[in-house]
Amino acid sequence: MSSFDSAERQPRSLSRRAVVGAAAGGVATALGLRAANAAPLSAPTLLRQETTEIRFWHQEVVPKRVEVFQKFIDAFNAENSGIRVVQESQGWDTAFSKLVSALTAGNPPDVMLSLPALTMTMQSRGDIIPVDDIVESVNSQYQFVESQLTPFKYQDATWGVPMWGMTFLLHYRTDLLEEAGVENPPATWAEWLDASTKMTGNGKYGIILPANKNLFTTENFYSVMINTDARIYGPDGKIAFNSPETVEALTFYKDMVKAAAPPDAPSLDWGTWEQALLRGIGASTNGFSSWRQAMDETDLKDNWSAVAQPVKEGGKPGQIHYPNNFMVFKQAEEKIEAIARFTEYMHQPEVNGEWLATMEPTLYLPITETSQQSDSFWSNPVIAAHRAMVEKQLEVLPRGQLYGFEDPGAYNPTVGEFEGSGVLGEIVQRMVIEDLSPQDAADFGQTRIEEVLQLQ
Amino acid sequence: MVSTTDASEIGLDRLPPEAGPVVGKDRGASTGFLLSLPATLLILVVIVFPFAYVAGMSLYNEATGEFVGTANFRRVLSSTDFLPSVRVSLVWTISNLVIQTVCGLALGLFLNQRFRGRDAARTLFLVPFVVPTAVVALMFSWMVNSTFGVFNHLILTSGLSDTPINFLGDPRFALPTVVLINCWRWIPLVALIIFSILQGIPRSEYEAARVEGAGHWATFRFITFPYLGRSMTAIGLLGTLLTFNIFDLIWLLTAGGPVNRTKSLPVLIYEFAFGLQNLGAAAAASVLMFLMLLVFTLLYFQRRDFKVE
Repeated sequence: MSSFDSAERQPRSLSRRAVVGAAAGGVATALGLRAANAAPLSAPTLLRQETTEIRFWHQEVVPKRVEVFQKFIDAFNAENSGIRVVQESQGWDTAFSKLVSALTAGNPPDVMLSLPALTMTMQSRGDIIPVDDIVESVNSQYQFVESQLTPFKYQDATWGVPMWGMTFLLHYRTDLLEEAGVENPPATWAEWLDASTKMTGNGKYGIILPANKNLFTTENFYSVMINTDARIYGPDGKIAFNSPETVEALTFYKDMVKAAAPPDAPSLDWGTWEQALLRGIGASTNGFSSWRQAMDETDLKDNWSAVAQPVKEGGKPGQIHYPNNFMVFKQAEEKIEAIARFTEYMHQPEVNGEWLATMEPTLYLPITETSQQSDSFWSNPVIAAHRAMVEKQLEVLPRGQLYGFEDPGAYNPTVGEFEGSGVLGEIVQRMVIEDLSPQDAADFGQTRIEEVLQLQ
Repeated sequence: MVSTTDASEIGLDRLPPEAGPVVGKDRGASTGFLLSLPATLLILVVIVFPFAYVAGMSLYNEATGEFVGTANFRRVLSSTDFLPSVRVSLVWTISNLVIQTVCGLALGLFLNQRFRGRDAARTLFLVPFVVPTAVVALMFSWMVNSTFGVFNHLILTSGLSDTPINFLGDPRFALPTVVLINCWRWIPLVALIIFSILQGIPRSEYEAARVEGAGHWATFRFITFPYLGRSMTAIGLLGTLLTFNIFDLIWLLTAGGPVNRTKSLPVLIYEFAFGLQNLGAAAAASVLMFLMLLVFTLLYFQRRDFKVE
């Protein structure tokens, strides 16, 4: 070995040792920090300050909606000199992971806009506090629609303050229905299948119905399950998917997909669904109503109408709905009065009506009886243009139902995992693609849901 | 190379005999250490620390903060989705590499020919690569849509089929379709890399071969291929790792469906993390994937091409 080789190797071996040593140190430090983080952190010391700051997280990322939020937050802040609300928009896709990170770091928001499943997940982790006082106060002044409160009442408390509702309607093309020789919009399952089948042909599909593994399919299929009183969770909290009621719902859904849905039903998502409607390919759809705003830009804008979701003969009327709510984190217990004032402000009928009408008209619905009468809501031009449809939404809202929350007081803390897993869509997709019988699909679904939720 | 002449020119020969080499080695060592320090720290901060953190997460129930040992690993390994996802990842990676290499080689050789518009062609070749993944996914998901997509329009009007083909929703076509879309994106880059390697081969070697009477095949086999082979070994490793890790395009096109036929390991990890809200299981699956790729990389480094001669 030459001296040159030796001299060259010296720094290399030193460097390698340094790198390996530093890496090992880094790993040890990281693992140590991870272990430290696993232990509950003490609450950060709150700075004494005269103004109470409320960190408000929501998942609205559309710029217009964020602007509308800011407008009402500014108005509230101006009226309440001792309180300052600050909004932080997270987006639904990453809301859960960000929230878990924030909780792990001991720095969660004070209040967060949520949905029933996420609220129950947070409640089961012990991260949020009851909001009975706020709910009672709002309810005594403005009267909540009862169906909007049910998903937040369990374990002897109320865990969310409903802020707005969203629900399904059956939207259909009036011209295509007439061409098909159907006099009235469908009211029963038999009429629904018949009308959808008749409207299919010549490049048109009777209904843009998804059979994909996504939330869109979950919502569509669960909405049908409601009519047969089929359940994901039984009253005892166990998975009760495999039942005659579910088989009946699967049978109807499969028949509808085969008879009237486009061939890309197993890959339909919200984007392709809306495109199919806007391009005039779809004759109907069962879903939320905000897409009608995009339809207003087309020549077909006057060709659409909406009715309540048809019901199985002798079945249970109803459709899926989502109450959106505020939930309050443990760390914000000292700020509960300020949060209550903010919540009550957003529920003042004229504030509430204008807020929801401007943020996403025809999607977000007022859920107190007084807000539903507010001038600020009905005077919005988009709401006014679709008044009949919005009135229909409000009419069916009390019949809204959501998986995991069918029974008052139901407590199914895995409902967040159920929703996020897309397993209901997966069952429907497998049934359609592999042409499983509804009974086989129900068998598979029961096992699959239990596996996904680790309940086996 | 250091020589005594060089040392005397810079005055090192005037140092005490015992001090010279020691000072030189120390200075070299510490200078090397200092120079590598920023990169080392960067690697520690952006790679080692996050990975160690993820490894730590895999041992905890992230919902409760409870230490659960290997429970997350057992959860992942016992999942009926895990092995099929490994299989999809392997099929995805191998098929992408084969198609991209063959087509990239053909296009690279084509670009290496002298023809009018070659420079323009090279520029155009980069277009698929600079289009953002989200745009590629959206563009193709509409183009292959069975209801209003242009591909099905052509298929139906040309009489190739009586019924539309659901490229992304039919289990028979979904994975091949996503692979081909990914290849559409990456083949031009592979072709340009091969072209740049070809440009580095000395012309004299081709001229000598021609003088010796070598034909096209002999020239390719004995001159072009050996040059390409050496470079392609390293590119193959990078390509394999990059392709195996691709998540965005698959997720945006099929989200792992239909019936899990395109659910690769990265998609499975995403589902664990953001679908099932189980960050511990997602971390365990990430660690398993890392170990698989690590074993592959170590085996790959055993190739003769990577040995220092």
